[in-house]
Amino acid sequence: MPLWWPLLLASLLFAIGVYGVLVRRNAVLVLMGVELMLNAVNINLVAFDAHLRDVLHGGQTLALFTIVIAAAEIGLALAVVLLVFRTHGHIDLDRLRSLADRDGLDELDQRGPRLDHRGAR
Amino acid sequence: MNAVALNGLVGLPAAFVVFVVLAGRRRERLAVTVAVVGAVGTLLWSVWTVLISSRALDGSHVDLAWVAALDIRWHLGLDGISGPLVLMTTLVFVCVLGSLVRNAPDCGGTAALAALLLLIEAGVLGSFLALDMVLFFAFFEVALIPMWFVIHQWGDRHGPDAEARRRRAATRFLVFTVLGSALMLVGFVLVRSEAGTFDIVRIASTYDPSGPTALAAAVLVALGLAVKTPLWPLHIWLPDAHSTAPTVGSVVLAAVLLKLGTYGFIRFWMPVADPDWEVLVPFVAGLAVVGIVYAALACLAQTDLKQLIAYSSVGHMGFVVLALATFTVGGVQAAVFASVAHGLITGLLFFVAGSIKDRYGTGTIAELRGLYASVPRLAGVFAFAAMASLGLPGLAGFWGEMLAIRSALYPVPGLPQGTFVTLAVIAAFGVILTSAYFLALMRSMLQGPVTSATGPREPSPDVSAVEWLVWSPLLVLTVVLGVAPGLLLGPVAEAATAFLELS
Amino acid sequence: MSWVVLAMLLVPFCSAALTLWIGHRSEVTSRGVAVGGSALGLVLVVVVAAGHLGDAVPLTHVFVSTSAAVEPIGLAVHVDPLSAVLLLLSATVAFLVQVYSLGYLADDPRYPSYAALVAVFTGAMSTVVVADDLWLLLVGWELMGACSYFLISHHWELAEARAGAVKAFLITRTADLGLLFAILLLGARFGSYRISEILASIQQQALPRDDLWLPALLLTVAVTGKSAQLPFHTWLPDAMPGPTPISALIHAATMVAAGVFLVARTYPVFVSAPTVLTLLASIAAATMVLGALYALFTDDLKRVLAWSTVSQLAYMFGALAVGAWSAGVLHLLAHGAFKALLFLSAGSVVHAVGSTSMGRMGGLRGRLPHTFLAMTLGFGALAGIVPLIGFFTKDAVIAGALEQARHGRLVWPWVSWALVVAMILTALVTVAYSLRAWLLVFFGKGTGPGTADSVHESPWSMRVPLYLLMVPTALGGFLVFKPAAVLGPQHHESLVHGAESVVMTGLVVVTAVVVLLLWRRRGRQMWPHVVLPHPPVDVVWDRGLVRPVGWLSRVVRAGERDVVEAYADGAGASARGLGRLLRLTQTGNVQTYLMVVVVGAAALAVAAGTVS
Repeated sequence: MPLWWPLLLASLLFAIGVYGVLVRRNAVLVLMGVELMLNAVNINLVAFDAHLRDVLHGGQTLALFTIVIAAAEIGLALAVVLLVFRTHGHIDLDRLRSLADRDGLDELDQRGPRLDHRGAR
Repeated sequence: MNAVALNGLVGLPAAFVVFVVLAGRRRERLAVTVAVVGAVGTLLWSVWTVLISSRALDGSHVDLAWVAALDIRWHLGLDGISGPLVLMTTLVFVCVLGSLVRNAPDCGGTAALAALLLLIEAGVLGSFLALDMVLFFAFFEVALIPMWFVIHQWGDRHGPDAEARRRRAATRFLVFTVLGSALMLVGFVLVRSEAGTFDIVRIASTYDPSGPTALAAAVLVALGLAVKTPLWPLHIWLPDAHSTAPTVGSVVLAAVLLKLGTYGFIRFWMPVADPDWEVLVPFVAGLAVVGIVYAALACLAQTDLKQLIAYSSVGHMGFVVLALATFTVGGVQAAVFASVAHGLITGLLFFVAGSIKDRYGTGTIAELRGLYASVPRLAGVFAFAAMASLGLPGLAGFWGEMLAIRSALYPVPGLPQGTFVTLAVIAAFGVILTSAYFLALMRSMLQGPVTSATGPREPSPDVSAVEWLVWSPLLVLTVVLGVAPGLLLGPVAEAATAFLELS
Repeated sequence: MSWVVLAMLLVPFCSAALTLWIGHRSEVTSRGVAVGGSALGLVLVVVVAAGHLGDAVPLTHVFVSTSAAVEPIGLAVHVDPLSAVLLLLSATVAFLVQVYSLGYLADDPRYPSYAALVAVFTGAMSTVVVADDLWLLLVGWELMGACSYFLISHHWELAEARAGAVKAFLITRTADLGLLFAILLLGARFGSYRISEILASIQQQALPRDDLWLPALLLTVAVTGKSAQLPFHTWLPDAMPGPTPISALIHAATMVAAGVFLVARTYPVFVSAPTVLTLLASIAAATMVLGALYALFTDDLKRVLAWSTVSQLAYMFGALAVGAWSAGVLHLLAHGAFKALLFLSAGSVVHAVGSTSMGRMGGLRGRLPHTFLAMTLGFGALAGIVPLIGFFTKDAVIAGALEQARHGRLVWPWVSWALVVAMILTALVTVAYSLRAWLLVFFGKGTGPGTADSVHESPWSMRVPLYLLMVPTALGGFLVFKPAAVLGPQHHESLVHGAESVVMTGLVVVTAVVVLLLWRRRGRQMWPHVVLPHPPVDVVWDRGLVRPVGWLSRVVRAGERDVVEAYADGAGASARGLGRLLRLTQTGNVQTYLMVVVVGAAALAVAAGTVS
């Protein structure tokens, strides 16, 4: 199989992933985009590993690393998204601006109950 | 022996800071007494140090490696230029701490105030003794930072927005002077890159500034010191700081801290600046003279007593800088003499102004009238100090101004004489303006019609015994230096000739 | 002998310190110390002066000197006949004034500071007169100015006293800049600040004509200010709100005479710059006429005497300008005596009547016989009535001017003729105003208490000085016949010129007759009253100098607030503004941040690609 087929696929997947991260508003979709990017990188690694006939199979090993890290990261990220949903009632990234440097409350982020540091009302 | 003396001179006040703090835990009064003991001890130590030091820097210094990797050394030394300033500093601090004995600030914390003042003294003495540029910078900062606390914590509490004014004055003072000293440090680093060392004694004898880097270095050092001196137009921190500071703070600021700037000019700027450069030195002299006239004009329009005295300090420092910008021995003599005289006289003025403010609760000139009638001795001392400050011959203030004008008439050959003669004439007219505003001040404050509209001034207590005790050294020295200027002029001349190799 | 000189210089200052220290603790002791100190000072002065009059060898001594300054500065004294006579004048008048003040300020609450200041003043005048070091002279010179300021404002409750003191001090201090620069120039030129050395150098070197014009001009500025000549003449009449004994001491006999003394002392400097002498002569000519005219038209007794002083000082300067050195100095001494007499007797009159306005006086010769005698002698000497001292010295001055106009080489011819005319004219006007004042005070009937019982003669402490001053006024004229006896062998020319004296006396008599006729005809309003609110020069100073300075100072204060502080605050404000601008990038939106990261990384990659 020519090398460029998996590379093309990887690039396409990466591009879709970047689109998902930068443009989509739903946090879960952003995370899906992150996953797409990571897996695109995996395809790239495996393709080059096969093409270069690497004795140590560095590419495939790194792909395994990437899968593990992706799994850990997605677990943490989904936990954060869940907490955000619990406190704000939505996971629209465009409306989550409470970390902005503003005087007073941000009018975009007023929905949702005011909770204290333990998450209680 | 010299090493012990020099190190002790810096270490003694620093040690007493600790003692004062410890004593303050027990009782405030004890703390002030310990502080006064420390100040007197430092004064005696400084007298001994001056006596055993030679007039010119001849190698009897303290010279230890400090930060060896950067070639910064712990290098202290005393000569005829720094000696008089050291003596004046220690004397002023004795007077300042002595005045705290009976005159503790209303808001308490006297022990902390005394400790901060001693810390400032240690910093100032270190600056006067330092002969390594970075060491000078370090001590410079040590002397500045506690002043922020003094102004902010113990400053003026009269008036509706006193807290905000204190904070503004203190912060502006700190930010300005720290910015200046940062620029000065950059200048020092540039000098090091040109001259190869931080040691000012070696630089003074071997370094010949030339080229754009040297010019940039001299400009930066001048900028930094100009903020401290202060030189117009970087003087704006001074009036607020002086008028909101407590009496002891104002005296220390005016009498001592301003001299850090002028001493820095003599010790650290003159060796790195070349009078042959066409623009820099005449420019500095020109700014000094502008400051003299500008400050005098500003004084004529002032309504607050302490601000008026603060602006007068700007004017006097203008004479000092004009003198040293002539790069002659006479100029350095004038600069040091005027610095010492200004310290004594303006210290006395601020003491009296503080006394007046304490007695009458206000520093606004329009509200103070007829003081000759209500507090005749206090008014008499003020009139004496005012006469000294306007440069009456026979009192200390005259010789510095006269020698400054003299040296400006005949500057070193590389400088444009026509410019300097013009500056000297303008400075002489500045003397007249100085007389005018002091006379106007005396007329409205000491004399003035005492009508029922301005309120009858009930006789307040006149000068107390402690006040006489604290002020008399300043009074006596003003007269002594006025009739015997040779006491200072001789040592300075030797030191200046040796250090700067001037003709 | 030199230690006597030192003691003579120090005693007044010690006496002042002691008087101040005793203060109000004991009235009697403070007065005793003041008068006693003054007496002791006088004794020492007599000892010093007696040894240095006439052909005695001048004393030059350096007590202490510092060579640390470029040219040596030190406590150096030089006592020669000029110093001796001036020492005698100032110490005597000072002592008499101290005695007089016992009566005049009998119940004044501020006596100790007054007496101390008079003592300091006396010491300062002595310093000026014996100083050989120019800086020592300047110290005494300005110290006198400061004492004058404090003493004029002794009654500081009066607005005129406050104003007059400030005006006097500021004008004299401005003019003193001339002295400062003159000293600096002379020191640099001759390598020394010692008067004796400078004068010796000038005599030895043959300097080109007008070589020293700048120092001479600067000295002229200084003495013009100190001695109240045009254009600095307006401070002297405004200094009259001070106590009358002070007017006698400072503004008649000593301080204002110090200007004349300085010219006399540094005469070789002036002689080597004849153009400046011409200038001095012109100033003198203008001032003497102007002063006399002002005296003619004023209604205030003390102001008459003040303007008269201005005019007579111009006489002295005129004499010195035309080379009549001894005439000038003798007129200085004479004027010191009779003007002090006049002022002190005026003090008696004012003490009795309670006002200085001549309108309130009149017919006082019955109630104040001693004062009447004193004032008659004083006015007579002022007007130049033979055989009083004023006659001899004034004629000597006029004769000297005439001599220069006819034969002299110093001053430009038409200026010296103008000076002669001015002197004669002034002499006549002097007769007129003296006679007028004498008549208005002692004859006729004014609006004041007149011959009421409340008007009484002054106490003995005020009368004794009058008697003592009457002696030189009446008998001092013999000095003119043999000036060398007092002033030294080089001033040997006789100052008596017969023909001129007779002519002058004739003119004087004519003027007196005219005035008496006017008195007879018109009574107290002898001539139309010309009211000059301020001398025009004052208006010039005010508009040209005082107001612009005031305006400038307000501009500076506004500038401080709006420009300089704005820059300082602006720095902080701009830092905050920049911060606010940068805060806009902190949107809180994660995707914006990621976009920046991605785009930035892409740009860096492209840049790295193109660079390498």
